[in-house]
Amino acid sequence: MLRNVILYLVSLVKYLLVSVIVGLIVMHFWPVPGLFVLGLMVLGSFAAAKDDTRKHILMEELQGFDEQLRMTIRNLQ
Amino acid sequence: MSDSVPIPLIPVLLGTLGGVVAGALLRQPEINRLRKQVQILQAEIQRLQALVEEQNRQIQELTVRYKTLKAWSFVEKAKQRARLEGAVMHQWAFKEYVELLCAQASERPLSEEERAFFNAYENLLAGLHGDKDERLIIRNYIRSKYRHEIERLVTVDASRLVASVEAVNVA
Repeated sequence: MLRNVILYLVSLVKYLLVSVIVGLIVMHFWPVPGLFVLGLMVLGSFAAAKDDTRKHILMEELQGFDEQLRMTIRNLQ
Repeated sequence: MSDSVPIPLIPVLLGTLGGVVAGALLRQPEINRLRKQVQILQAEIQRLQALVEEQNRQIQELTVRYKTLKAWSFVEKAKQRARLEGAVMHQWAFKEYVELLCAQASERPLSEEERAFFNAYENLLAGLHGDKDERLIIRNYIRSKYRHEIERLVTVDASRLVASVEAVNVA
């Protein structure tokens, strides 16, 4: 559980950083729309980080599963 | 007084019986194939035991690697933990597959979930590389059944699995 939270926080920091950088660049040229973009991106970061974490964990899990599966197939032949 | 429609009992019974017999006859080749697989497993029981022990050894190795990771490398540690759980999950999937194989060879009918899991795992073993969905069927089934074992990284007892295979009568 804790490890999932940590992965989520790391992912969230990444998304927030990108959001802030992109938002600030847009704000530099178009202050009002830029603020809107920044807000949207920051809000979207939470959902994106959650999805990212779930995907990462699933991918790693399936990798561990596949390694064992390959070993099992080799031994059964 | 109610009007009762006379049910033609004998044709209904014969129809039902016919359906049961036809179903059993259609399943017979499949049962014979599974029995042959169980016979092979029984003949090579030491190989099965060695295989489960090898799985245990590799899981132990992954556990050691996971535990030796420094606490501050939390991302790597979380990834390693997920990989380890995947390996343990596979072992329980393999055990479940062998048990369902034996169950079918003894003509015990499988539930819908068991059948879906069995077919998905059999396809993977046959090298028909399933897509992600097939592995997700396996994951959902095994996680719902062995959640505690997977989370606590409990491995399968090889001797117990071997004993359950040996106990099946397929003669």
